[in-house]
Amino acid sequence: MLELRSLCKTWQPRQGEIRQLLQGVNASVQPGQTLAILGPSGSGKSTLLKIVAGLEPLDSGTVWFDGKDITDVPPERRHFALMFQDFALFPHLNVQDNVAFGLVEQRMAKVQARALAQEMLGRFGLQAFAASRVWQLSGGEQQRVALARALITRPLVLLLDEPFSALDAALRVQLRAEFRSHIAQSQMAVLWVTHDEAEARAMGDVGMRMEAGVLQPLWSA
Amino acid sequence: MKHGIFSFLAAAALLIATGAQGAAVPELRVLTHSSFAVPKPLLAQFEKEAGVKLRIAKAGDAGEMLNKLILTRANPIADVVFGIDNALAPKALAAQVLDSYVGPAASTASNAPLTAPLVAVDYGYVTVNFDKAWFAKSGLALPKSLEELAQPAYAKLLVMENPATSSPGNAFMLATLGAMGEEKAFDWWARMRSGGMKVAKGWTEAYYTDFSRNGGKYPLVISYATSPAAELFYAKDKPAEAPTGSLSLPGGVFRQVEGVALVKGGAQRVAAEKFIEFLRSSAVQQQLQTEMWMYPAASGATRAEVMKHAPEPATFDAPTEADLAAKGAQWVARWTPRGAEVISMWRAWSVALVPLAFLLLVQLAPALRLLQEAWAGSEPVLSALWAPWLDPYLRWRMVWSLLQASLTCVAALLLGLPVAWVLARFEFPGRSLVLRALMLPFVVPTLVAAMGVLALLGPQGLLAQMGGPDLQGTPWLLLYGNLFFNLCVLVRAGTDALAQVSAARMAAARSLGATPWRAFWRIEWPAIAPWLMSALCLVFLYCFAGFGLALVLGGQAYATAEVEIYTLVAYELQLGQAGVLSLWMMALTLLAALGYAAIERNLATPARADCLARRRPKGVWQWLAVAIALLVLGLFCAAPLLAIVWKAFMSGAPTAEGSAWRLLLEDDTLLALWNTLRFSVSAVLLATLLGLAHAFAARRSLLLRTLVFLPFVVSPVMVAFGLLLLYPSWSASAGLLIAAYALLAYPFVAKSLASALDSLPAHYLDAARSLGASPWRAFWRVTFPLLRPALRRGMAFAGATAVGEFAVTLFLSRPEWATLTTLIYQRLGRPGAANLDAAMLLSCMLMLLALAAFALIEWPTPQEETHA
Repeated sequence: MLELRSLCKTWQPRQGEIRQLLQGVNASVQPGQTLAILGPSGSGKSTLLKIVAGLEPLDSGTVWFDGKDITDVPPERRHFALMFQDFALFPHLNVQDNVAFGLVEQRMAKVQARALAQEMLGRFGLQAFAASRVWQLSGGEQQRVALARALITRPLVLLLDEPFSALDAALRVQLRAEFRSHIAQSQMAVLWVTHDEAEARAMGDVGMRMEAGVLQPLWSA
Repeated sequence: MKHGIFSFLAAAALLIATGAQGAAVPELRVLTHSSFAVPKPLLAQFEKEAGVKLRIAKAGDAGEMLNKLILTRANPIADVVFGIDNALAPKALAAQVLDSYVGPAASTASNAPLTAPLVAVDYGYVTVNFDKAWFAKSGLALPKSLEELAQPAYAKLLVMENPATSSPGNAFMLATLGAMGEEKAFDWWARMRSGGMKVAKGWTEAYYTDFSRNGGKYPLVISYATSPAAELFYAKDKPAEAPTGSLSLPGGVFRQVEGVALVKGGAQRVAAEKFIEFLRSSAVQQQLQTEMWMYPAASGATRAEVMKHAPEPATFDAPTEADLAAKGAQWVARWTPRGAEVISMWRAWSVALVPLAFLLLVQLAPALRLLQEAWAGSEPVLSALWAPWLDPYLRWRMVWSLLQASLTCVAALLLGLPVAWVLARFEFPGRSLVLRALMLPFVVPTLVAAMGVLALLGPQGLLAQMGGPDLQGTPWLLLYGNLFFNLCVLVRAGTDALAQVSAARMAAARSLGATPWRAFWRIEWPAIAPWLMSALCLVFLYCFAGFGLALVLGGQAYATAEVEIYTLVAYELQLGQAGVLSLWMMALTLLAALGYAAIERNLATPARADCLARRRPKGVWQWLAVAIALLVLGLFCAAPLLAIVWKAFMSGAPTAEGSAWRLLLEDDTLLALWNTLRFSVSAVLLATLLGLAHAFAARRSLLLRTLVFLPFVVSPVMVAFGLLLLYPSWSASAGLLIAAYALLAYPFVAKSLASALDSLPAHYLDAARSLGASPWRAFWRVTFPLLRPALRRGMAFAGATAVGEFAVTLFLSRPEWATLTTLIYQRLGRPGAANLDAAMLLSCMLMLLALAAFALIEWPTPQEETHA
């Protein structure tokens, strides 16, 4: 279970100005459960995800996973996966190598990693694109590649930062169902950050709203 | 549990009720450390009973929290503070930030005492914890004393928290100090450290990362006597026995007693006193055991069931309160290895040290040596400094240097901006080829360009042969040569900038009633102006500090100050005067370079997604615009190069002495070619190393960013002159020559990499880290491949610079080290058409060599081709 305990974070937009971004954020997510976090832009949602991923230090508070305090564990040892708003696919690697990236980091041989990546691409209906460059893909295809890349290492927690914001409305609705089935199979704890209430309701078993630096419950399972 | 839910509902109801009434409920401000944990229902119940709303501020570690309290004592940030322990109490008392309290909690007996006015709330023991499974597996016996722990058998087994940043670390250090005394204790710590004890920043890191129970390498960790009970409590499979244990080594146990106190100057005194009693109430005393994992301080409190797995150590040690008050800070300072900070600072700067040392030795020291030479004149210093401005001859040299650079800027802007606009807005066949060709003048050696201008406009040039005037002896040769190089700089910068103008903003402007012309001035121009300004700064720098062009094309009347310095040194040996002139040139170039660096720093914006689409030209006028733009580029950028090729080809015709082409096989030529190649390759390798180091260091500071331009600021002539003065014994050594080449070449590598680093999206690295890559792996697999094109580009420029280097070689080279450039210059200095032909042929060869160096490194991979 992923637990966030009293997370506090200030942000200094410029010299002499300090903003309280998170002021005691508390939440917990069970494996197989999706927590949707709603909030306007600038409310600190992305920062929250980066903190959970271990990419941003905290001012105070602790992040726990399965009863262990992981606040100071570096990101590569958390085994969480973070998906970015613009996917952050690496432009110097082809689609297959993007998907295989995390496996290679786990010291898997490249041949084997590529084979597994190819299999994963198959599950996403992307096997034809394996050798393509990432900028040759459409937005929806890039999105699927990003999810495949995140899921292939079987992360313990999946963190999604406005995953559909770069896509058009029809594609969003279509991808919702697809993502839900992939996530359901994997039994991960999922943090889904969005500003779109319909998307949050469709994806989140539990919903919370980020308001003035704290999370307020909206609905629960 | 039912009770809990009930009180929660009650509190919720109360909250709703008070919310309806408005914010009339007074607030009680509680300051505490980040480990404070009391169940919410209990807090809600307290709020209800005390009639206040709690505002609990968690201010990090207990030490941090106390510091915050002390810093804000004039205007207290809290009414009541929890978490000051017996280790911190002397500091809190000395700072007089607490008020005394005499309620029941302060007067009833406590399981562990704490100095008034603090009221003890809970206590615990900091001890050595061990991983049972590890010791069972290794067969190693548990240590029975601190002395044994320092033995080699236990080397590299303990992880300890840094006392400066962690309260358990501090507590354990205090126990050893209390038990052994200061000197013996520090001696023991020194032995522990040399035995490979790991020092972690905080408890979380030590316990959850380094402790072997949680996947780390260290089976011994400084933690609490209650930690084993907590392990058991949270374990999923509910084992009968805790997986870890705590050791009560004599001298290795510290009893930490945490207390609560009123804050001096705080408000809400009644509620604050109630809060103190609340923390001592049986409900809180019961809950805190499994929330904060401490023993209750109230003597009557019942122990939680799980606490039977956390027996209290029989003995513990601590320094006397007086010692603690007097020496606490001193001890921490003595314990903390200062070396670590120095090393981390060293690491941050070491990467900058290599290029800095190089700049110091090869650039700055020679420049200072020049300064000294200027000073050495017999005249008073100030009048010597002003001398160039008083002498009409030298004044004209300086004014002309400034003037020709400014004129080139104006001409480049007027000619280049329309061309850039056409290239950025129209799509026509061959457009991308033209863009690529715009890079060519950057790699053409100055001497080749000068020869091209002569072939075109000089005596026996094309223009003269067609009946036009011979322009030698007029300023037009130099200005034309300047434009050959710099028009491309401006056109490229303008095209890139225009391509990034937001289409949406242009559309908005048009729909708001702006004509295309107005839209250009109000939207496009402001967007591209900074880019153009930065390009103009560069143009000015190149022209002002240029040497080769002015030497060959300026003639007597229109030579620049740079040429004058060369003349003064090489022909007249007037070192003092040359030194003063150099100083002025340096000062003026530095101004332009600073301006450039300041503008450039603000330019690193990521490419916009919504750029304007290029369209095919429509109608006569638009096609005419394209044609004129191409004509301008052809006249200024292609014509001189074509003229050289034409001249070289013509000289190949057989004459009385045979074809001039035989020259290419002469020993002199082959030797020069070999010299050019070996000097260039060594220089590029050195320049690449320096450039890499500089670019990474320059991310941190504007100063370093500006320093990249130092080699541009101090012209090659001055560098060579200074090196000659400073290192006379090495004046003709290959090492010095290559160092000077590298100095001139490495800014290209550094600059190219620095901009690539600026535009590298930070979240690529984040993505790599979250996919399991360590910082080094993330660099190797993501940063480096993404920087490779920039590195290649920088190396291409560095290579072309080295191949075409001229000024430094003139000063520092030995006769047998003649390069192609010096050979051309020698031929040019001899009379006769045959020698001019030979110079043209050699220029042609040099040009091909520079192009080859450029193509070799710059040729785009298919990946870049598609991406562009």
